[in-house]
Amino acid sequence: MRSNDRWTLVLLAPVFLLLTAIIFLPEIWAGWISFTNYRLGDPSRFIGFANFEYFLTDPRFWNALRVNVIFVIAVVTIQMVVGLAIALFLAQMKSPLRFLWIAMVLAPMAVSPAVSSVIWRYLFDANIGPLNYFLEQMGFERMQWLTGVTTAMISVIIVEVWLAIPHVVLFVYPARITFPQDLYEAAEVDGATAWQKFRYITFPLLRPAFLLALVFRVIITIRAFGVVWLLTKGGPGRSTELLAIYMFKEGFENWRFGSAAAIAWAMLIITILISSYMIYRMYQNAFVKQRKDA
Amino acid sequence: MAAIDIEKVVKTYGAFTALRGVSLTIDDGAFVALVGPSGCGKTTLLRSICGLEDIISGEIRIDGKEVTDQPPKDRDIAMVFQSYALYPHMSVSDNMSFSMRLAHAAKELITEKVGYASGILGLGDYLERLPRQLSGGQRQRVAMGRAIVRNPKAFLFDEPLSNLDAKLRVQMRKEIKQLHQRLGVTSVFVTHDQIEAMTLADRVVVMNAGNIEQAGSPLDLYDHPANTFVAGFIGSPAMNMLEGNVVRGDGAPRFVLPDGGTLPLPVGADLADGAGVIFGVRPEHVHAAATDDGARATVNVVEPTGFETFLYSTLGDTEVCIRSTDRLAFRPDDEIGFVPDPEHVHLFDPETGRRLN
Repeated sequence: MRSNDRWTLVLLAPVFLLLTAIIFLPEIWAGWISFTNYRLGDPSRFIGFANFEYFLTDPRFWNALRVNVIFVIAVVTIQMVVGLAIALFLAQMKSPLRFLWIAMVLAPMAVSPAVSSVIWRYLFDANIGPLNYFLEQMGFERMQWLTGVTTAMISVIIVEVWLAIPHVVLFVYPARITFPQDLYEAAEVDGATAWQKFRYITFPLLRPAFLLALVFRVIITIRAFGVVWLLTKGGPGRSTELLAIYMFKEGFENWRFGSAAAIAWAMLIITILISSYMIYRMYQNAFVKQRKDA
Repeated sequence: MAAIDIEKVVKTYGAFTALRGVSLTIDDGAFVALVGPSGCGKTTLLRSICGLEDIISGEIRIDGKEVTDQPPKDRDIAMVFQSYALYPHMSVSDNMSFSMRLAHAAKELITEKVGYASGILGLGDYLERLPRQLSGGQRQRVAMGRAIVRNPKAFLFDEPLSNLDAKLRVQMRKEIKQLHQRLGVTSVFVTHDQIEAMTLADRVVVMNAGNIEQAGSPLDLYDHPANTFVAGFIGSPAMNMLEGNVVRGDGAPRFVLPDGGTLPLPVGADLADGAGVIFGVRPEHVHAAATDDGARATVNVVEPTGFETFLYSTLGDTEVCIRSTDRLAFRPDDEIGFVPDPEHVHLFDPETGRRLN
């Protein structure tokens, strides 16, 4: 081992220790718990796969999985499309006001998600919220934003999208502004319309940044919890009960830590499977192809 | 193939006027070079022909058809960009065929055209490569291939050789000229390099500060520059220009320098006694004499290049250059006679800079 490599390890060691302490050990601990009937204070006993059997036969789990799938697909699709559109809009702005716009677009990132959830809860409030006030002013009916089965889902999707758009913009915008202008002039001379320029030039060149943003957003959205918990607590009924909320309730409302840990492990496995598939595809797309060319 | 007519084209960027009513006719099949210093408007004029710039007023016609307000794609022209502007994610063949694919051309036709262009340019073995896997010269050829494939009415080149090293630049210059001789397509070539302009074009247009100073054949511009700007811009080293006055004595009129040195004026130069004049003579039309005949100069630097020797000297307070195929044996600080060949003297008006003879 060269001395350089040794130094690298020494310098990286604190990070690995930290990761071990706050990620790997708790996960392994949770893994152990998932095979026991652990309750706070009680001595626990190994019960095999009983916890997994329990949640896999629980209709609430299947409901949570369904809600989670809808939530992830809707949130990620909308935020990727809107984030891309905003990034492209910002990139083509020539006015010095562009930096003001960028600051505005990135603002949701600067606010704590808990604080924004409280603000949005106020905006959505059926009686005193501004959203219903404006709806009424424009002659529409008041909406039960957070208390209707469908509207609650729509509301949490809106907030989650709003919060994460800056993340997508931060991936796409810097990539876009590196493209030289003369590529577009060449395309114009070649006869490309605005849509064709996007379809054949911008998007293919943005793809690595876009896919990276997509992978991040999927991984992060699968395990969404805070915003939805603060807005609806998974309600009304179980209409917005995501996997993480279901798990949280199992653990801290029903005190079934064994099955909560089993659900946590199931979520981890789902996330790892989906993200490694996406990263593999991205790697195939972006890197293997390049290497073959070189 | 087509003629291009440019009439009184004006283009401004905010307070800056890039083109001040430029008019120019480019004949069908001609190779025209636009040359001038940075900011003279040559690239703006090219981009206006292309349709990448909206002009303020004036008219542009390609093949007799007015295109002033038409987008680039409707002008049927091809452009080779300074940076080549190759699509980095597309193979050589996809780069070349992009315009045809957008126009939904038949696959066989695309294959045929790409084959034809890559054959001419020697790119046959590289069709599946990406631009980043090509050398500078090959990228340059792909950019030209993209233009050839379209079979356009005109080729527009925006300083296409400036990103190449000196050796490759000379080679690509020759290839572009051969390409034009072979295809005969009207070509407009922008460059700041007067040698490139002179060697490539059958017609050179010298621009300065948004105006055309002179347009003509390379040798016409060299032999009969219309004003001091063209005289100074075309030719390297630049033409020697001396300010002084005409003195008509008993004999032939002579040119007198402020320090009293005199030089012979060309035959037939009809100038009033005492008139101020700029006396221009190219370095190769001056002899360095050991005698103190005419005007005297002091040698600063001697540059032997083998075939020629350049002698940089000071005459009065002007730096002058003498170019000779003789192997001159002068040394710095030698006093020499500056003896111009009267047949090759250019006279200019010191006020307007216009040619007088």
